[in-house]
Amino acid sequence: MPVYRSVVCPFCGCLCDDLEVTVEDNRIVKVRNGCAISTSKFLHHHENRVEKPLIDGESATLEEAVKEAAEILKSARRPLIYGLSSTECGAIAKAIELAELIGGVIDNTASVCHGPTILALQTLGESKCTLGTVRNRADLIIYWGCNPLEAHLRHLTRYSAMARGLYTSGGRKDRYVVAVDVRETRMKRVADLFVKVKPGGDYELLSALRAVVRGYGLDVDEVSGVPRDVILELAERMKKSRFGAIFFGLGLTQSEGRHMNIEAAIGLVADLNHHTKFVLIPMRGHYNVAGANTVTTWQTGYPYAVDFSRGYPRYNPGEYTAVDLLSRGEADAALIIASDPVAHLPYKAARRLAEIPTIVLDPKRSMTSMIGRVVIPTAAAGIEAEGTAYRMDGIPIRLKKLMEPPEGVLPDAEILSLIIEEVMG
Amino acid sequence: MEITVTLITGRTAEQGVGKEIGKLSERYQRSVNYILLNPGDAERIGVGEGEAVEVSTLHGSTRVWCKLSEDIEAGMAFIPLGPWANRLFDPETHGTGIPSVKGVEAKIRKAEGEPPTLEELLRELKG
Repeated sequence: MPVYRSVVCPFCGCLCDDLEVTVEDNRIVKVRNGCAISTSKFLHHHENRVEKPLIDGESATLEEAVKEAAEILKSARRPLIYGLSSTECGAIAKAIELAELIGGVIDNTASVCHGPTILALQTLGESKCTLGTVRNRADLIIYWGCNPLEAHLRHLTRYSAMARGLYTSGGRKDRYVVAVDVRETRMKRVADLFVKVKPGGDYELLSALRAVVRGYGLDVDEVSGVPRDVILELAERMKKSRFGAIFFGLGLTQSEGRHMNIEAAIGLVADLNHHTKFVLIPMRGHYNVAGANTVTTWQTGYPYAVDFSRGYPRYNPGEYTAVDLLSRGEADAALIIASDPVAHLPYKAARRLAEIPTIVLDPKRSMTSMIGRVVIPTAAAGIEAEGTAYRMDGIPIRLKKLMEPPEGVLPDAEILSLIIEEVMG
Repeated sequence: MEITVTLITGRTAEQGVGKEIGKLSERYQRSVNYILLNPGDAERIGVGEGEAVEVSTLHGSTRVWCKLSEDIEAGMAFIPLGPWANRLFDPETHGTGIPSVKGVEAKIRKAEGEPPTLEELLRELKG
């Protein structure tokens, strides 16, 4: 039975590429090196599948479903294409082609995760490096508003706190680890220093750290619930490190301040680069959300929230982003690719998807597929289809095809090509 | 009796494992249909582990099962993102595209009746 080595895990932005997957009779029977989530993904990928194309809940042929999808998109005045973070780059490129063709809006799930990060990076730029560089060099690692023990399970051991690298051969003991969060997560047990910040207080804390790094004193006892001494000590430790890295998550982007929090973090890192080498890396969630931003930028000039209604791309987060377009009741049809917005967007936006004709492309059943007017099953990228995905640090990695998809089931890119052909007539 | 807490949302490893079995699977539903409360807070509103609570914000309400943990401090609560939690949040993004789903004020009290099932949530959604 075939054992595939160096398999890339298509779950989170770590894109771990050292898995060994055993396939027997077109079924995955064993996964080595995967985390709990990765193992679950590979071993259960055949369960809860969308088994055949559906129109209004009734079985249909692929041709009928594609025709119906094309009709919906052609007749819509303000169609939205959304999702794309859990599929490969070829499908994302096709989705953009379709958005241009129908004069629609295309957005990806970055708009509800690291969208504010992108807004801040566009304003100020970024100091970054690959995860390999962090592994080999970083002697100070700060996790701010993120919890890799819950969301990026092998990050600590493969790339950061525990990893052994070229100049960090001692692994964990060669690094000082800091976690900043609004609540005491399990990261407290991993970190040398756990800093508890008041909810909504990140901007002030980052600004206080900037002030101290720049040589100003602090004439207050605490900032955002963090004692003055802790801030002074952390700032000193940052300046004295050989190579520092801040990994940050949705604790910064989804709370009060949003992109302003990230701007403060970028500013802190820029200030620290006057003293030592310091970088900032977002903990991207879905395995190819970074690819969705990258491909959308190649093709339209913008990373998400792109409107083609005038025939050329326009960019405006807050206006062309999925939550806004749906909750305003503006979108009158939707195509959702490899995503489950009905389960995750605020209820008003989710409800709009149930009111309008929604087309869903997904390997598995979900809340979104359950409300879809047209549902088309797809091959799971990285398991049943190959393609490229971008790691959280912007490194493209080729996903492998390990087995055949169920009979008659095609990859996202091929289904999107069929819809494009049908729309073009 | 009702308490006011600061609500934090997020993802958990268990949710990731459940999601990959399937969004309609029992394990996924169990992994997102709960709120984590400090035992002292839960006692104040008279609920114990495994009982149902009503969570409400300015923007909506939901019923979920109660889990207790000393890891969450009094005055805060954690709820995993998902179809139960998404009823609590304002779709207003203030021009950024992203709604506020962390650090939101919420009121919690003992619920009358059990949390809705996923099927009930779907039926309601379809109107």
